[in-house]
Parts: sequence; C-alpha cells; structure tokens
Amino acid sequence: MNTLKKKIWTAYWLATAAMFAAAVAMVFAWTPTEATMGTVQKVFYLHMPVAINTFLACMVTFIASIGYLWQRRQVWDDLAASSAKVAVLLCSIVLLTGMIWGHSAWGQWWTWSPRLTFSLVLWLLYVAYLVIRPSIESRQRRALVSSVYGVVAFLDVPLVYLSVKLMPDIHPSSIALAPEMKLTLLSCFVPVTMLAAGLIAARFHLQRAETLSMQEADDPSLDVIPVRPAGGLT
Amino acid sequence: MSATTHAVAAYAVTILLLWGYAATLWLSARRQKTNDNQDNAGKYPQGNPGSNRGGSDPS
Repeated sequence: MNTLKKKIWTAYWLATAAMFAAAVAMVFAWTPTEATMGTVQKVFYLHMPVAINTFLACMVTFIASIGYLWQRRQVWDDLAASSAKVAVLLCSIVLLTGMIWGHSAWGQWWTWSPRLTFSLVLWLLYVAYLVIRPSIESRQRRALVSSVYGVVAFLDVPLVYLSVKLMPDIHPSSIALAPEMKLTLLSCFVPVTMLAAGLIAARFHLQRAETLSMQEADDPSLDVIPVRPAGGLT
Repeated sequence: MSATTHAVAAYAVTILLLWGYAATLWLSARRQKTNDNQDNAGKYPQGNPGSNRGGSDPS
C-alpha cells in the first residue's frame, strides 16, 4: 500500500470513529426519549442501520457470487467470502441488540415471530457458508460451491424484509419518528455504513493477499527469483 | 435490568463487536506485512548476485 493510499485509509477510519462517537453521544445526550417505550427505544438507532447493512453485505456476497459464476475469477470469490464474514458479524449484532430490546419491550429475550425466525435463519445460512468453505480443498470447487450457495442464501433477505409486512408479527413494521429522531437515525446510519464498508474492504484486502500467497505456493513458477543472464551486466 | 441498562448494553455489545473485529483485521494486516517483509528478506538475501539488494555493484 503506497503512502497516499495509507493516508486516505487512515483518514477514513478516523472519520468513521469520530462520526460513530458523535452519533452515540447524540443518541444519549441530545435525542428525546420516546414516550411509549422509554430509553430502550434508543437501541433502534443502532439496530436498524446495522440490520440494513446486514442486507447490503449479503447483497455484496450475492453479486460477487454471480460475478464468479459468470467470469470464474477468484477475485469475485474473495469478495463474496469477505462480505459474508462481515454479514455474519452484522447479523449477530442485529440478533443480540434485538434480543436486548425485546427483553425490555416484550419481557422475553426471544419469540418465534416471522421476522425474528427469518433473521435467525439468515444468520445460520451465512454461518454455514463460512463453515462449508474450509471443508472443500480444491480452490475452484470451493469457489463454485460457495457461489451457488451465496446466490441461494440471499433469497432469505427479502423474506426477512417482507415478513413483517406480509405476516402478523410482534416486531414493529414501522416506527413514527420526530424530526430529531430522524436526524439521529441518519447520524447513526452514516458511520455504521462506513464501518461496514471499511470492514468488507479490509477483510477483502487480507483475503486477496492470502489467496495470492496460496496461489504462489501452489505454482512455484510464480515464485520467481530474478536471475541475471550469465555474462550479463558486469 | 432497567431500560437504560438494556440500551447501554446494546450499544456496548455493538461497539465491542464492530470495533473489535476492525482491530483484529488491523492486527492481521500488520502481521501479514511483517511476514511478507521476512519472506522477501529470505528471498533476496544480502550478497545474492541475482538480487539488486546488496551484492555486486551492477555498474
């Protein structure tokens, strides 16, 4: 990574951290408390942006999987795997924050409502994606199986989104927000999205380096030590 | 647990997981860079005539 890229990358992370800290401060110090649910409603400002970013991370895996099936280039598989890891992390946060909210609002940690069930299925699908990958030794076969799986697993995302609209559910389908609350939600959405994108990019960078070093190890001809011709430069 | 404790717990979990993962990736990238530097040092040892690092002067 050259110096300019490194500086931009550092600035990106510092800006994300600053905006994240400002957003959290805004939630607790500035945003009014919701009348019905009280303080626990503040979980919403983090829960919803993380949930949307989970969908986006799943979508990146979906698009990258299609990219691999179309072009058979390893770079697509690396992107799909990186994004799936971040999707699992984000989905875990959605489930955990949702459970904390549910315990306070509904008096129970978990209920088998459609939205919650499809969210858990989504988490399980992407955990399975990550578990299956290392069990396949051939790189091409792993990429092919993962890509097909990545496309199929994405079908759960619309189910998670539409479940509260199409089926009776304890999970709220929409919440009326005051203008200050909308501003806070936007202030949380920006750094969470920047963080999710940064994590996918960082994981992808690592994944590419791992893939290239493995390709180098598999194919010794790539590992060329420059040798001068005999009687060359003297 | 009060509603405030629930809200604070949710934020703490999120911050810990998100920024913890970011820190893990940063550390992995640093380790990888160190390994790459060590590999390159082994690949181009001092005094290797095939290398432009050290060794004979091409001029």
